[in-house]
Amino acid sequence: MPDLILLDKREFQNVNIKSPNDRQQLTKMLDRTELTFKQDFISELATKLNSTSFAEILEKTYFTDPSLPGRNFAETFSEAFKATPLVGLSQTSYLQVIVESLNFEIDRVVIAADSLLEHRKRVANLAGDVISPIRELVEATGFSKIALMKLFQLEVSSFSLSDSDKELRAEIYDTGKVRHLGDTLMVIDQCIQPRGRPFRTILSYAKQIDFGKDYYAAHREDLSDCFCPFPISEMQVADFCKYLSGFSIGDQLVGLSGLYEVAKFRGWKIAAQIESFAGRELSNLLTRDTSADDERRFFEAVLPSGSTDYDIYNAAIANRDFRFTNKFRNNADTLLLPIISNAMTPFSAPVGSKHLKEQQRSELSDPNLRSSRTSCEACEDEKLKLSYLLRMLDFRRTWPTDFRIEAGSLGLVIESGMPLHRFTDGQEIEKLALSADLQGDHLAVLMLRYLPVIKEYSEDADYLFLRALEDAVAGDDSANLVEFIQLLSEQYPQFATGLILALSPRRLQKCYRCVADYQDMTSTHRKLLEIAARITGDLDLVIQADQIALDEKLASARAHFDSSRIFVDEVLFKNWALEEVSPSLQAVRKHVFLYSPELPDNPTTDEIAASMNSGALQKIVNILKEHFVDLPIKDAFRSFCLDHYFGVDSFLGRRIRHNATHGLLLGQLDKICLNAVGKDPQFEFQIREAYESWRREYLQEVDQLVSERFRFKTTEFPHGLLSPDFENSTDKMAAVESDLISQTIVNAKPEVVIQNMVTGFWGVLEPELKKMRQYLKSDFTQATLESVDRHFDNLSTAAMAVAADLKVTLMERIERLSSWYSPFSPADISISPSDLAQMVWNDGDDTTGALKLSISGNAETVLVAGSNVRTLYDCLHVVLVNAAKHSNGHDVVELKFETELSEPEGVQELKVRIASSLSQAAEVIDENNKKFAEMRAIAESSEISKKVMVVQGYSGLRKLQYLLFRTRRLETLKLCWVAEEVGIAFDVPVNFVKEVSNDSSD
Amino acid sequence: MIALIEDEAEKAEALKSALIEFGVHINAIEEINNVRDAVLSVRVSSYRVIILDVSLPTFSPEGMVGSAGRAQQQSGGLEVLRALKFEKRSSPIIIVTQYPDIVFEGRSVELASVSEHVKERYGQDVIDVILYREADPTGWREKLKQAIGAYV
Repeated sequence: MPDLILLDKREFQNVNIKSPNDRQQLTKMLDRTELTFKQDFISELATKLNSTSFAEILEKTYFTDPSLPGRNFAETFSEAFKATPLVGLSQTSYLQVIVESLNFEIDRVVIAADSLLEHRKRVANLAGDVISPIRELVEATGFSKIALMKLFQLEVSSFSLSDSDKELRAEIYDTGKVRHLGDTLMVIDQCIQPRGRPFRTILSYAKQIDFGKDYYAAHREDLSDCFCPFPISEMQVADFCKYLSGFSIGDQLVGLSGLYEVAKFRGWKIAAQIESFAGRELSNLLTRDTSADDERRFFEAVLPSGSTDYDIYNAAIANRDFRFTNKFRNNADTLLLPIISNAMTPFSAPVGSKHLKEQQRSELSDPNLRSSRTSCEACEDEKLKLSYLLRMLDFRRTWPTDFRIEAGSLGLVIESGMPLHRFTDGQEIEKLALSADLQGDHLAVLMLRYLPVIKEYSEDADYLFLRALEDAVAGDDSANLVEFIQLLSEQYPQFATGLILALSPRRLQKCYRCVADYQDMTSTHRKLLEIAARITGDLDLVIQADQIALDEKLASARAHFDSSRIFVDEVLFKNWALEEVSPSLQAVRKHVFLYSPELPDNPTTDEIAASMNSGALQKIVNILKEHFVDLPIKDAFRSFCLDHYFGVDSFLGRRIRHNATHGLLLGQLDKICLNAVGKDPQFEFQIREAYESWRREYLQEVDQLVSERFRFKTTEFPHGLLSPDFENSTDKMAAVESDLISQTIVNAKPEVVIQNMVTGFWGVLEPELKKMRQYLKSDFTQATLESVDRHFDNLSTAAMAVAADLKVTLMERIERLSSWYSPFSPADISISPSDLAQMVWNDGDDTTGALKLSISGNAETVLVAGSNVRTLYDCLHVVLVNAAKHSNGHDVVELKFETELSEPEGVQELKVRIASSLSQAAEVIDENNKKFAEMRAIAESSEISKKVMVVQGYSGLRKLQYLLFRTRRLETLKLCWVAEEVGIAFDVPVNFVKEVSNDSSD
Repeated sequence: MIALIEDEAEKAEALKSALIEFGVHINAIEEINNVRDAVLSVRVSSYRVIILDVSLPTFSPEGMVGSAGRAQQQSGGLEVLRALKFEKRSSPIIIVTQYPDIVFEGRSVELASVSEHVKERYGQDVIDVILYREADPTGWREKLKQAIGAYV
């Protein structure tokens, strides 16, 4: 064979392609050449002809005939095949060459294949043998899209098929659908539906393929750009309409017609309903065929030179959409419009109006639709929407390559409720946005950039959208974003609402020029939600805005709680220090005067400084250091850190602080896994397995962190991150020491000295806490992220997405946890008991969930302050979370605050009463009786032990008892169970303060 | 001017000291500690080099009353790269991170592949990606010295 090629090549060198005789010789050479080497041959030929397209080569060598000017491609091929003896090559080989050489230009391949087959049929008189070569084509091209397309082309062509051909076709088709469902669907979409082929044809295939069955099993990617799969049961009709709503109105009409045919075939009730509206008329309207050649010629003339076949094809589709819609508008029964409306409703109803969406969606199966007055009103609305759509399509048809639309028109279209984002692709939006930007039409740019972000999430689309928003606000002379959207809502309420709902906190914080800081962001978010609530009357939006207002109000209190997660019980520490340290101070001071009798009784700082250089004073200082610093201060510092009752160690987030560390580090993680599993059931097992194994390991890490690392380093806890040793080698420690010496000499009051000691000790502890923060942010974070990678390595994309979400959440949580470990700042805090309860309720979101909290009483709105606010928070946390956890049957937890309020200020008893449900249903009564008996036994016992709290920790009612014990109010704890209601009551002493300004919202 | 985009004060200070030691004038360093300020700056200013930590909070610590806003964005620094891309600006970038990989739109990319990814995704040239470890200052300082060398 290589010899033959060489021979051919030599012959080829002498061929004059302009000579008809030589061309014939060339044909023979080509026919003789084995297919494997044909490409090499063609390549040589291409070089000689200075052409890269086989089609051109064929035209120039085989078919160019000056006597027949103006022949088009199809005619040329047809003539060529007539003149070609087809010697030496099988038809399949020819087809394969054509397919490959024409670079899969579908239309050209189909034309060439048509010509070849028609020629063969004519020559061989194979009227009944049409399918066979197609089968060869299908097999030769591996059931490609092109081959299948050809099959469908033949179906609607003029060939009359014999029975055997039909069987063959069915066989080919069956093989194709099994192997390439996606391609098959795509062929139907691209080849038949847009060309207005009879829908009976679509349906016959649809029935064979049973789309619905495979649709749910297939990957979404396989079905992208495919025509809507038909439902296989009546239950799926609603889903079908929802799916359909994402397509152009032409597709929707086609889909409805298809639905009618399928429903009729399967005997569904919906068929009768559709028939009663329009049925036949709709079907007939859409089955009218048009000339593809006319269409092609039109767009070839209209589109700029250089447009590809694909451009022409797309333009033709747009034109078809337009004509379908136009015909429909002129001819269809207006009562059909609600059907279209239903298909479009999920995207066209006013944004935020969930109830309306559901109502309209269900109307499709409502037999009384026709008589519904609402539907008639909807008809008018739909006509308006259609007219805007037609206007858009008309623009696109008239200026397909230079389409521009100004904000006014765009606004009207959006306001009509038309789901524009479904009709416009990314490139078109980009083109329009750039065009609007050049015109300086910032509002149009914003409207256009808004369309992609409501379609699907993309970081880039978000950036462009928010940038457009910033520009629009800046270009509108509005004072700020809120004012801009307020004004916008007066002209374009629907758009303004959509814009507000799109502006999630995540997006809002990236609106860099419009939002200055976190408070500004939350305040802006709240105000925007209030605007949207006014427009839509949506109660959910009002609730969301109220929630943000509450969060804003509580921001400083929450910051106080977060930044003071660890602290010392100062009252107890000071009591201890007065008892243990003050005598030492006085003893040391006596020494001062023994050595420096010249000092006055109460020397000033200046006087001390003046005598500082004297040897006597230096001796004093040395004695003080030796006796005062080495012993009392070191002891005091160790107690400050380690005392089990009041020291920092007791507040390291593990016992009294309601398991806050575990809650923060583990909360919400399960939800990430569950959400992913819900979205992607295919990978449920894989995701669950990876998540659970990772979580087990992570839980161990967290346990270790809390029980070993978040400790002071002692012989018992050698891995503790904090040091309880007071070493005077650091600057801060030396400063504390020096201050205390000075204060002692000047005979400062012991309370003042001890207060300064507390402040100084926090200063000493700060570097230790910094080490802890650093450890969390670096070592612990790195180890945690690496463990996620390890458990989710080499898994599916869905599992990797879970891993990424986990990482984001973990980083955020660990970052927040690290912020807890800062020196205690005794900032003033004043808050009403009801706000405090609401904060507790929100913090316990995992437990409180859907339950409601009802607050009442005469102390609901007064302000409380001081260190007992923290105790109150802890008490409320215990009772509210437990009430929520054990509440069954009822959905409200009632909380009542009462006080004497005899004085507007000062320390008073705050009486707290809480009530929740405990069912008395027969099946649980025994269990609940037992539960309540246990509670009563706990409440009546006085076995509160500091040691147990410190070593094991308490939870639930025991913890409440401990907290009350600390405030000496244990005896006020009462329990009762009346009917189905369980009540807990207790008193907490709190400091009431006068309200200065309680309203941070405007 | 060199932009030093880093939120952790200690880390920023260590990087700044190193830069000064390597010959960068103190007045030629602009320190930025959050995504917002960084994005607004790169939109209007051209930098000789940008030293970028990818894990940044959105707002500055001063604007963070209410701890929820203090939260770090795992890939907050990518907003800066995105801003450069869409503003059609370009500056050589040195990425400094404490983590073994960087998450780009939900996908973890190992540090070795970050330069290529940033070039492809954001059209920016990354001179180097430096793993910052407080416990091992020699390693990152040496890499920083080499990376910044040509721009001093």
